[in-house]
Amino acid sequence: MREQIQSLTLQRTDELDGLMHQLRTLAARDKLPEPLITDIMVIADEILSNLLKYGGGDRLELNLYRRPGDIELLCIDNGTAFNPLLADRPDLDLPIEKREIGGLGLELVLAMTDTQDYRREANQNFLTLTLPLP
Amino acid sequence: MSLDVTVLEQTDTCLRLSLQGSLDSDTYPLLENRLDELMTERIQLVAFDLQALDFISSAGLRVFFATVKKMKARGGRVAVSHMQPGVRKVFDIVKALPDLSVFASVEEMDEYLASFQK
Repeated sequence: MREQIQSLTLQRTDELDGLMHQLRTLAARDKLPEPLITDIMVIADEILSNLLKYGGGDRLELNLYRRPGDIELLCIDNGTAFNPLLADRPDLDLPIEKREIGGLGLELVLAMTDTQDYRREANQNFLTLTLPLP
Repeated sequence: MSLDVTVLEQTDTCLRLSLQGSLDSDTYPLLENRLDELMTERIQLVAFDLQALDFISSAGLRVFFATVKKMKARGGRVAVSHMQPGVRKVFDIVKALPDLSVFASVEEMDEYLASFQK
């Protein structure tokens, strides 16, 4: 059982503002727990900015579903095939000056989600993430 | 979203900024440019008051990381104060806090800055 609570498409980073407003509206209507708004925003910012900068795509569709124990976030983009879950991960135990400045976004996505699944279908990237309900 | 960067204090060796709004992939160039222009050679401490920062994403973190690298290379420090829980969570996940001087309140940072400037 899952209930779709939002679907929207982003094409530019300045549209994140609109996403924030929509998430707040959902939270106000009790469709989405307030503490998850920031996590979803961090994830959306990460996937969208990667897509525009490196992914060669220009359209990210976000679908939010509410399920009994969690929120499912399905991200579909039209970039080149890219599985972010296979990307190199930074060593977070090094002091900052010894780290490469990259891969931080993926660390945030992994920390904020319980499960992650990637598939390539019909020339699009499908990334399904679940966020635990508090 | 929008970001405002306010200079709270600037001395020869110390730069203190307040960030308001959202530090994300849309707004980070604004902070980057301000830092480029304000972080003169003799600055030894860059202090960020984050009381009014509502949101930070990895693009924002990268600006902090670059600033920490730059300051550590010259023997200086980066301080942050008054992080909101969501912002703190992001810094926590990437284990950035050990490399920052973290202050719970503006007062605590004031004391530190005063001792720094003696």
